[in-house]
This record gives sequence, structure tokens and C-alpha cells, in this order.
Amino acid sequence: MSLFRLVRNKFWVAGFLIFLNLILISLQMPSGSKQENLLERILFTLASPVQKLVAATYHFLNDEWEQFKELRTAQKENQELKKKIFFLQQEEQLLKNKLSLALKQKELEETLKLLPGLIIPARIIGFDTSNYYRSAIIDKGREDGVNQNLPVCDKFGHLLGRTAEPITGSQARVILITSEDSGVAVITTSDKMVGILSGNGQGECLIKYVMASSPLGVEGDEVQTSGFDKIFPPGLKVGRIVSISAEKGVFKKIVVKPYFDLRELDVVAVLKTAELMR
Amino acid sequence: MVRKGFVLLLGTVLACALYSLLGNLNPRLVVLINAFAVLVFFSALVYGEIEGAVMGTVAGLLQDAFSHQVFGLGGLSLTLAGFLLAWAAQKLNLNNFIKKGILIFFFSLVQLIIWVIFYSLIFRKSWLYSRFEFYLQPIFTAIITTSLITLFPKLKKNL
Repeated sequence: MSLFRLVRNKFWVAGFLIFLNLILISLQMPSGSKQENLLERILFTLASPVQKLVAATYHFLNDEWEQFKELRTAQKENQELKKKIFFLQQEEQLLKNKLSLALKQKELEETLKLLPGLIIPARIIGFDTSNYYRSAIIDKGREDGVNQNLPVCDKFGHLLGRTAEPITGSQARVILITSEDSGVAVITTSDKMVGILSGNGQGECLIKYVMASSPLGVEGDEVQTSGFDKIFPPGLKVGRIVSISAEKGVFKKIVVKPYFDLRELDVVAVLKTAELMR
Repeated sequence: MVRKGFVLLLGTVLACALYSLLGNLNPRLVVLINAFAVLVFFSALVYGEIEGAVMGTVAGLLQDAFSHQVFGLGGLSLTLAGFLLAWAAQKLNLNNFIKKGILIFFFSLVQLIIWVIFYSLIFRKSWLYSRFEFYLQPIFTAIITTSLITLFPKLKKNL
């Protein structure tokens, strides 16, 4: 059978495409782990201009509508102030974290000098197609200094997640803390209970591996990053414990409600942690 | 041929744009309305099996690129569903909106089932793991695709 006739045969074409997809899936086996894929990176890059254009148009129209509703000058001042507040909140949060660790005044001053260059403001331009609590896409990539495993916070300084592959020149994926693939070393503020926080894919997080016999863990307690994972700087606010129950197994089930609100996500901050962790 | 290619390329760009717009409006809409499935079923019903399968792979892989899960899962399920929908459509008499809607709903459900089976096999997670909006996808896909197919001849005249 000639190649032309093969291509014309619908069953051969469908069979080939199914085989191609199965090959792509099998490349990620047996663990089901997410690995870097060239084809995925290409598609991710190709879609970037469309996504950015739509996001920019949407935000432009949204902003115009807002401006129409309010006084023009007041709106502009407000925009400027919002930008300043965004950076100030991030700086304040990081400073509080440093203070809480009782660093020397000199070290604090040095950190303060570094701060403006350590925050990359970005915009969310897309969400995960299978579960929006799993990942998001931001409009900043390697060209802006974004690398793998950088913490991402919302505009109030609450932890949102970390950057992950694929990271292209102008776009990157963020694995949200509500994803079951995430893992954050955390500590509670009142009783200093440490644990690994992971998402449940339903908008909440769980602190794992706390023994059922442990007296630690208080409902309503605030959860912060501990910095033990060497990815997230210590002291970033994560959420609040909403329930604690002892399951049949050996570990407690500690449910944490994250502070960030998906509907309020617009501008986010990517933190260059290597400098912050020093 | 060129015109068909242009329409399919335009459709891919529009699906991408719709996905992005929905995410900006409300993240829930991204899961509720699968712009890529709409594109595949539209291509399958308007053009046939090969186009349905090819668009299934293209749009499915594009969908996978925007998701942090196994790359190829969306491609596989949409390729199968796109091809089977076009194949079944040629065997059946789809002369009205309701019949088309039911058939698209059925194959959208098939696509979802294939996706969920493979997902739970790979990750060993519950079938009901995903967001509830995810399981409402077939209804929205059927309504939107059927409406587009009904409108398409009118659009085609103006193109």
C-alpha cells in the first residue's frame, strides 16, 4: 500500500495518532510523574502570544470599564498606589519573616537593600484545564529571571505555589499549594508543629505525617512556611487550620484552608529565593 | 483544502483564546467549558473522521500543555472521541439539533470516561477526584458545539 493511500485511509490515520498519544503517555511511565517534554514545551510556547493577547485585552477592557466608573485622575492615583502597596506588602511580609527569625540589624538592612530586585511581578494568564486548583500559568519566564522552584505569592504576600516546568522565555507554570503534587515544609505559629503541607485538589491543603498520638495541632492556628525544604523562605503565610481529626491510621488528618483566593488572583509576585534564604 | 486548513487553524487559535478568556473571567469556567473538546467535535461533525482525529490530537495535546498532568492523556481521549463521533455521525441520520446534541453529549461523555480511566490507572486515584464542574463538561460541550454547527453554514456563506 502506498504512503498516499495509507494517509487517505481514515483508520490508519486514527490508529497512528492513537499510537502517537500512547507513546507520549508511556514516556511518562511507570511513575506517572510529570516530565519535561519537547512537544509540550513547543505547544506551550506557540499558545503564549494568544494567551497574552487575550489576557491583555481582557485586562485592558476591564481597566477601561473601571476607569469609566470612577473619576479618571483618582483612578490613576489609585493604580499607582496599588502598585506601591503590592511591593510594600511583599517587602513588609519578608521583613516580618526576617524579624521573626531574630536576625541582626545589619543583616536586616542588607536584606532590605536587596528586596526591590528580588520580586518579579507577574500576571496569571491561564489555569489548569483539568483542575483549576492544580496549576496556573503566569506571563513571566526565563527572560524575566523566572526559574524552576521559585515561590509565588498573591498580592497580599500569601503563599500561592512554586514555579515549575515548562518555563519558556515569557511564560511559566505555577504548581499551586492546593495541588496534590505540591509539598511545602510548614510550621504552625502557636505550638510550632512542623509538617509537610500538600494539596487535596479540592481547594484545601493537608498537613501530612503528624502522628495521631501527637498532642500538637490547634484548630484556627496559622500555618507558615518553615523553610526546611530550602525552596520556600521561612515565614510566608500559607493558611489556617480548619479541622483536625484522627483517622483510622497512624496519622492525623489536618485540613488547612489556604489564604489565597483563586477568584482574586490577578497580579502575583515571584520571589527569587536563593538570596532570601541566605 | 486550503480553506479547510484555514478554518481548522482559526478554530485552534479561537479555542486557545476562549480558554484564556474563561480563565480570566473565572477559573471554574476553564473546567466547565472545554474549548478544545468543542473544537474537536465541531471538526469531526463538519469535516469527518480524519479531521476529527487530527484535531483531537492537536487540540488534546494543546489542552495537556496547559495542564499539570500526563501529557498525551487529553490527546488520546480527544483523538478517539473525535474519530468515533465522526464515524458514528455518518452512520446515523442527524437531521435536527436535539439528535446532534445527544450524540455530541454521548461522545463527550465517552471522552471524559477514557480520560478518567487512564488518569485513575496512572495515578491510582479515585474516579471522583477532580472538580465537580469537570463532570458537567459533556452538557456544555454538547450545547455549545451543536449551536456552533447550526450556525456554521450561515457563517460559511459570509466567509
